[in-house]
Amino acid sequence: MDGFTAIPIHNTNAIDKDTLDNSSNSNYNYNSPNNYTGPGTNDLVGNNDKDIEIIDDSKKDVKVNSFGFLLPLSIVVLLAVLSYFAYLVFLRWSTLQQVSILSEDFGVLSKNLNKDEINQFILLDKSLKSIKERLAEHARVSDVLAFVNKNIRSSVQIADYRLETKEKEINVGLAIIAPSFRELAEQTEKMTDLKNNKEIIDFSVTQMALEADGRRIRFTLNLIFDKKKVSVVNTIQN
Amino acid sequence: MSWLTDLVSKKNDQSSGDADKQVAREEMRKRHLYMSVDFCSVKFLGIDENVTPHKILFWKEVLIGPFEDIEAGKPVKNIYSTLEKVLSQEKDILKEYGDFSVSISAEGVFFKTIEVPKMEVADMQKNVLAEIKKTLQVDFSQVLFAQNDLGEKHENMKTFFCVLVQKTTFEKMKEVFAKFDLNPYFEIETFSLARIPARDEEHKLILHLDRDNTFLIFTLGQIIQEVIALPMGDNKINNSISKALDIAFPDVLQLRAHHEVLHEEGRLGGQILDEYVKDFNKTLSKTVALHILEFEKMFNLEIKELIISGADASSKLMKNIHEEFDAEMEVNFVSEKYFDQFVAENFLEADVKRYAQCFGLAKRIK
Repeated sequence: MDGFTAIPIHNTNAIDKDTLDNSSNSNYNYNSPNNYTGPGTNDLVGNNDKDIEIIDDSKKDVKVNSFGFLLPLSIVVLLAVLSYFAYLVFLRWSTLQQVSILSEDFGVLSKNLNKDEINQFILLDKSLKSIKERLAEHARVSDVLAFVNKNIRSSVQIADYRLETKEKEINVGLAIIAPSFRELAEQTEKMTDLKNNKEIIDFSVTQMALEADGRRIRFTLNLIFDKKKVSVVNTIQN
Repeated sequence: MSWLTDLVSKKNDQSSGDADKQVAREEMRKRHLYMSVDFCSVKFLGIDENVTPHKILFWKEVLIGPFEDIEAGKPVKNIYSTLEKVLSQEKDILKEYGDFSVSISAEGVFFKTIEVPKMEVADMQKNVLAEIKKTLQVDFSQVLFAQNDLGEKHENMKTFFCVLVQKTTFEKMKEVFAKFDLNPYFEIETFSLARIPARDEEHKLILHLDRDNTFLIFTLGQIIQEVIALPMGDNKINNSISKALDIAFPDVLQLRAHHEVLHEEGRLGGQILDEYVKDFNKTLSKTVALHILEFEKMFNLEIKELIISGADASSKLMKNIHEEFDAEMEVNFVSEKYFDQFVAENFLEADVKRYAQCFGLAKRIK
């Protein structure tokens, strides 16, 4: 019909099967493939030319498509939900399998554990803690010596070196022979700078005496270091 | 120390009744023997101050070390006993003079210029001492301390020049002279040298090249503003030569004593010595230039003149300083122009440098 279907409106609305059956003039053969064979055919067609409504196929399709869009969508959503559900089921199964394997391994390890070894490890840990505490109190003498060497004038002669460790500080006593009183004074100036910069806690000069040659001066330089600054632990951390 | 000299003089005056003797004694008192004592030598400079200009009567230098004692070859083990021997040798000379002054080495003296906030004079002096004690934490009963107010260099601050020396150094020196019935006026050589320039209002620098150290004495006229001791003395050249050429130290001293002759004769030894002296002069000049700049910057002033003192200062040092310090600063060696109030026969220009401390003492206003 080339995209158009001519449907007689009259036929669809007016023709009633019973009416047609009861009618003696009925020319309608229900069994005939050409339902209407009577003389009224031409009239019917001819009279109803005005009533023929032409329905565009596209309009028909719109009606069909709006219904067809929801259905596939719901099917897709349903499939997605089902797939996700299946994945979750698989994941659960897989996790349970892993737990089961690990439980078995743990069981095997528990059976193989040596309690003596564990006790030894605990003891070792305690010892290490104790060593760390002792190291924190222990000063690096080499650092003290290096500091003294760096800050003592090269012109002076060190005759004696004493180092005493106390709870919070380290006392260093140096018996020095300086070439002159000026050298002694300049040395104490340097120590004052170090004290002001808090590199040493304090210092003092004692037992100052002129040597027999009348030029050199013998004296004792006492330096007090902060133990924390020269402790082994502090050095390691630094 | 001068009050001690006065006490001795008064005692002597009472003992003489005769007027002629008094005049003679007065004349004797004006025959002044100036001495300079350091750890290498003792120098004598006798001046007759009865005449104007003052006449130089006598001058002598006795080497005492550090490597040669007056008994040849013996190192100085005790400066005081060595000095006693020297004075004993020269006792006839000592008798000819009525007044004595001694300039002692600055090697053992500590100089410091400090600034304190301006306040009452007494409080300020206490403050200066407290600052010094903070720096020099020694037993102060063993130290002689003097301070000189230099005025207000910066706003609301007072600057003080401080001198510290070990008491025993002076006491032992006094004991030695007392053995010869001498009670001289003692002075640290730095103050003697500070009298070399003119008394004016210009800033000057005296570079004193000593055996072990070089002293930079910054002055305003003749008033010391700051003293810096550089650990670069003439012995640095000697030590370098001794080490590099593997020569004994006394031999190096002998070699250097003949430097001029070797140089004039074009000998290789002279050329080698030239190189060592040149290196030392360059290093010293650079260091001095840096200190001058620092001083000028700190006090916002200009050094007008540099005077080089020291018997062993090379003539080329002046040229090096001129090259290093490219400014309008006059550089001179200690020369007779600074001591025009003295006259002498056969007194060489080199001797003026050698006896600079003695001349400085002689310029003291008594």
